Amino acid sequence: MRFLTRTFDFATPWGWAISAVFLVAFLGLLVFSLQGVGFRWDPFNLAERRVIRAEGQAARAIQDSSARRIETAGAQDTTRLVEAATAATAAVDQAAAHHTHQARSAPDANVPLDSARAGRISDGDRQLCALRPAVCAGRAAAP
Amino acid sequence: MADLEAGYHQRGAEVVACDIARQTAVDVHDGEHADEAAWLKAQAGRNRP
Repeated sequence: MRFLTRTFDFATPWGWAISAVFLVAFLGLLVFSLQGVGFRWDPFNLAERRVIRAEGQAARAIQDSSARRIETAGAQDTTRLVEAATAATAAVDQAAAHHTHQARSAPDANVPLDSARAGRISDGDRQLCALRPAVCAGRAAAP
Repeated sequence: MADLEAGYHQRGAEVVACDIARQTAVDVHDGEHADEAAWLKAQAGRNRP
């Protein structure tokens, strides 16, 4: 008894402090116990705010996952297109190399072309290449 | 004569290769726009009450 009266002695600041701590702890325990039987005390509406924040995060996560899924599919499509283009270009180069080899191996390979004809052909080729240099970028050289 | 033929084949191959590259660029560009449209449509479907 002496311990209690000395501990909760309101004449001293220390007594006030300890009394306040015990009161807060008692009230907290009371609210916690009552929550077990359905009593809810949420003066700042924290639970609803938490729910709203969680729903927003879930919606953003769904949006992000949808975007990532579409992005991944798009990247795969692009890879397929580039691979197909690479294979087609290789086939083109192979065909050109084959026919060039045949031309150089033909019996009439060294028959000279009329110089005027050769000049016209060269001029025409130069003009076309000047219009679209990328086409005449000098691809795989003929053997 | 062989040089003429070789040049002809070479130029033809360059034209075809250039067209392959052009078409690939167009297809990739169209694919990007299709992906954007698909995402926007998915968002519109989710936002509808």
